[in-house]
Amino acid sequence: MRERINANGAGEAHGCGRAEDLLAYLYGESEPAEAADFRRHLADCAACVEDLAAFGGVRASVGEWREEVMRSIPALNVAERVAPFAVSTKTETRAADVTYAIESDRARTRTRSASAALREFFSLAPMWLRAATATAAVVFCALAALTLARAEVRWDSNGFAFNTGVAERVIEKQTPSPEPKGFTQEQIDALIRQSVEREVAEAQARWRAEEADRVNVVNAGGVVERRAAPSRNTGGTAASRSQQGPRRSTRGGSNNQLLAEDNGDVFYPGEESVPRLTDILGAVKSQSKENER
Amino acid sequence: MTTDEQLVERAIAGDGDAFGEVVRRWERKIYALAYGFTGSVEDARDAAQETFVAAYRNLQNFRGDAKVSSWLHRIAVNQCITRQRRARVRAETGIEEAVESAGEAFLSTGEQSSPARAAETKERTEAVRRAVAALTPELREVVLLKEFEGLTFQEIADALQVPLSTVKSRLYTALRQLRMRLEKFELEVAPR
Repeated sequence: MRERINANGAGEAHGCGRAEDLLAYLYGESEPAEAADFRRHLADCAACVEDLAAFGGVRASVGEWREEVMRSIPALNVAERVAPFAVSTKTETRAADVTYAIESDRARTRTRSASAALREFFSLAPMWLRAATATAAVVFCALAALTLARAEVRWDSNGFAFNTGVAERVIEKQTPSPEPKGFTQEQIDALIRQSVEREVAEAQARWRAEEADRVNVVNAGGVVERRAAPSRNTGGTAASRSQQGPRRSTRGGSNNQLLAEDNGDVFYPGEESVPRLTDILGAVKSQSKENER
Repeated sequence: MTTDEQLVERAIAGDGDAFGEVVRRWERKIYALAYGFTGSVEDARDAAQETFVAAYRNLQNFRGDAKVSSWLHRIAVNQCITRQRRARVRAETGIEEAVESAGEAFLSTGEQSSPARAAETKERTEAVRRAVAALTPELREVVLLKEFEGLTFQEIADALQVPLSTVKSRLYTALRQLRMRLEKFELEVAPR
């Protein structure tokens, strides 16, 4: 029991060399005879008396702290968490279950770690960064509050709609129209029908005017070609052409239609009685040749 | 009353409730030791839980001639030392402040008789906490095992697996350092 205290430099601070006896006496672990012997030593050793009193004070302070800690112990529930898993048979499985339970418990308390990390961030951040973060947070909260205050949530036959109120404010400034927006399918069909009829009527009027012009041209300069010269294009006479009239008319009609389609023009059935332009030109040319002769 | 050693024997034999009883008997003490060591409520709770998990995992390795209390304390101290190493790394990244504030918040939750006494007690206990936290882990574990857990020198030696003389010398050194720090605190507080 008389081991010398020399580890960590402890023994050298105590002059009389009875530090171990002092500790045993202080904590009540010395034998009765040893305790009596040390009490006699105290009568002659001021250093031991001083240490004993000081260490007693330290112990009281640590004891006070210990009481504080023991009073403030939170609900641990370690037993409840560990014991249920201990009922099963295999040790490895049970230990794994216990570990899982504790990991789950730690995950629940991880939010506090996150808040600690946040505190750490702010404690380390410079002042300007703190101010900027605080300002951004205030602006964000203000905008979010404004948005939510004007927000409108609607759920009707048209489905779910979320309106922040910004667009709605613009609409409020416009003159409200009692008429419903848009057209029905019937209205659209009627409008298309009217437009088509109007276009057809205009086209027919235009065709009639053009037909009248062509008849005038034929009447003015080319009546001759009906009774005279053979057409180069057709390779026949007017008479023969007149004989072939009905047949040619039909064929010519289809030819004209094809030609017109090739030229990008439109050929209409009403034009079948109109003389062909090539015939008229052929007649004019033959007449001019005759005149030259 | 069934002893801790008997309960552990039953737990080894497959009695699940027996280990639960061991946990119930020791969880508060182990938590207090862990809190004294780490200074953090969260770390103390985790260390206490992990102590019992580690104990349960090593039930088969428990030596019948050892005391359960020494066995549990050794596991707890090892858990705390591991956490202390992690805390040292965290301190380098600035988390120590959070741990400090957590410790203060934890101590401030205790019931007090009057505001003046509460403030005084809080100051003193905070000074003690800081003084103990300033000790090296080797000195701290001895102080906590002695003052918080009430183990005998021999039990501490068994728990830490060090010679009895080492326990005493460490405790003596720890008490002297605590005395100096607390006297310094008293001097700072006295002129107020």
